[in-house]
Amino acid sequence: MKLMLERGGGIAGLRKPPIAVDTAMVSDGAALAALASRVLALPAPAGADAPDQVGYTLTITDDGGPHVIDFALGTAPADLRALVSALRKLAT
Amino acid sequence: MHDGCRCYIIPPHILHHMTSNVEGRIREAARTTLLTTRMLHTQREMYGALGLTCLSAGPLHRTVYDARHEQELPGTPVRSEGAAPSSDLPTNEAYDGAGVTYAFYDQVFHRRSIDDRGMRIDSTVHYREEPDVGYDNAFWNGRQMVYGEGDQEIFGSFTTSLDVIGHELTHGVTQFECALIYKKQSGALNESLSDVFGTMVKQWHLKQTIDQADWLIGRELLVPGIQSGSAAPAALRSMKAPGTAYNDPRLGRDPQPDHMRNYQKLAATPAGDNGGVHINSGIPNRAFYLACTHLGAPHSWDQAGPIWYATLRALHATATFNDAAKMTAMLAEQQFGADAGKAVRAAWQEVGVLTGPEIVHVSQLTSLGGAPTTAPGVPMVPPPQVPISAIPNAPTGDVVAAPVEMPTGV
Repeated sequence: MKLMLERGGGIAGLRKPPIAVDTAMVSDGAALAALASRVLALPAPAGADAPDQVGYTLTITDDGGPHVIDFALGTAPADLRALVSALRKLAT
Repeated sequence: MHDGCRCYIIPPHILHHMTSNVEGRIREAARTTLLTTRMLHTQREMYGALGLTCLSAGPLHRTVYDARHEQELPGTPVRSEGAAPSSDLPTNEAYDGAGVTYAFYDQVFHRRSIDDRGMRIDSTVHYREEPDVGYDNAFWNGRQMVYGEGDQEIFGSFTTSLDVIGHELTHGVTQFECALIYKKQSGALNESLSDVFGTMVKQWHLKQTIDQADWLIGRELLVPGIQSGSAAPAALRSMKAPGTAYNDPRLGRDPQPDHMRNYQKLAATPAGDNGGVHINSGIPNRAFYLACTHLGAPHSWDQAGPIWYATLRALHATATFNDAAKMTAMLAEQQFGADAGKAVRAAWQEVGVLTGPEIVHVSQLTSLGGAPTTAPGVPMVPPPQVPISAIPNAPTGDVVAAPVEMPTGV
């Protein structure tokens, strides 16, 4: 499974390079893939279309192809927040 | 004895009777109730004498909430309309900044709050999306303003800049007026209108002429030491010279274009800044600055302000830069005459939005400038003294820069 997290927006309009992870290539990749699968099973989160809100795009690519989720972190469900946190840790 | 109070279901004379003629717990309860009733009555008399019968009386109704580093909104109320200042600086900045912005819209445009119907103004400070990470942002969530306190390494509290508070509140005004779709050109117009009225709030509060103003957005919220892209101080954006607001190893380089030739076609996704709404807004931002200079009135709110305010109310939700250019030019002519229309068209031509055979050179314009003119339905009132801490002036500068991305990851 491949995961990509992108971020943009906010009043400063700052854009940052995306974080891309192949779960087959990292330790604890199976746990990460399981977490991503749980995120895919969630109802669609609220988007990030409020003015100046920082927005995220998560792309989960599995055997069924890419699944794209736009969301704001502040209103994201716990599993999605946990996945963002895990991806950030892998990027640092 | 009758104390005149008619608000309690058991009349006081019965309570008095009970304190004299019954025994034990019932007598004590009656006595307590009577004392409480008298206390409340005294309080109401006191509030009435002080004019504080209702703390929210009057058209302005601000409430500041504290998110206490959580993501739940609105959080805990910490300062309501008329209450004394808090010991917390962001709370007071959010309260005072909302008050100045309200006064600006009220006194310059006779607008009653965000919705022009006296809507309460709610702000949340100390907001965080993650408990351990300072939130580098401020936003309007459709109902209220939300402010982070910054990471304290690049950004300080987002309540520090009055123009940012005016920017966020204006997102609410736009929502209740033309409701510009927050993507691509209509989204960049939405952003630009927030910068236009945000900087106007600051200039109006400081009584600055267009030459005295710094035309910077968010200058005060950057921590000292962030490098600018010009001789002017660093900021989030420069309306006078888009692309020069910052050029710093920690922050990257200001990516705003100042002309349509450098318009950035980005994806209408969060990662693409919804089609570059905070990036391409540099083009209409500079058009507003140029319109102010070409119109020649001393202050931004004298002529350009009423023109842009009427435009904010008249645009349709999917308006393009070209639509805004034509609308502002038409309204300028309606409100201030043919030369004002030419001045505004010239501004949009200089940023490459309007093209065509008729290129108006500023040197050809006549009969502009001088004393403010009152637009139909938009009375002009001199700005009052508003009790908010003074914001220092800043020098200005001109330079150009190219767009790049932030160096660090998500």
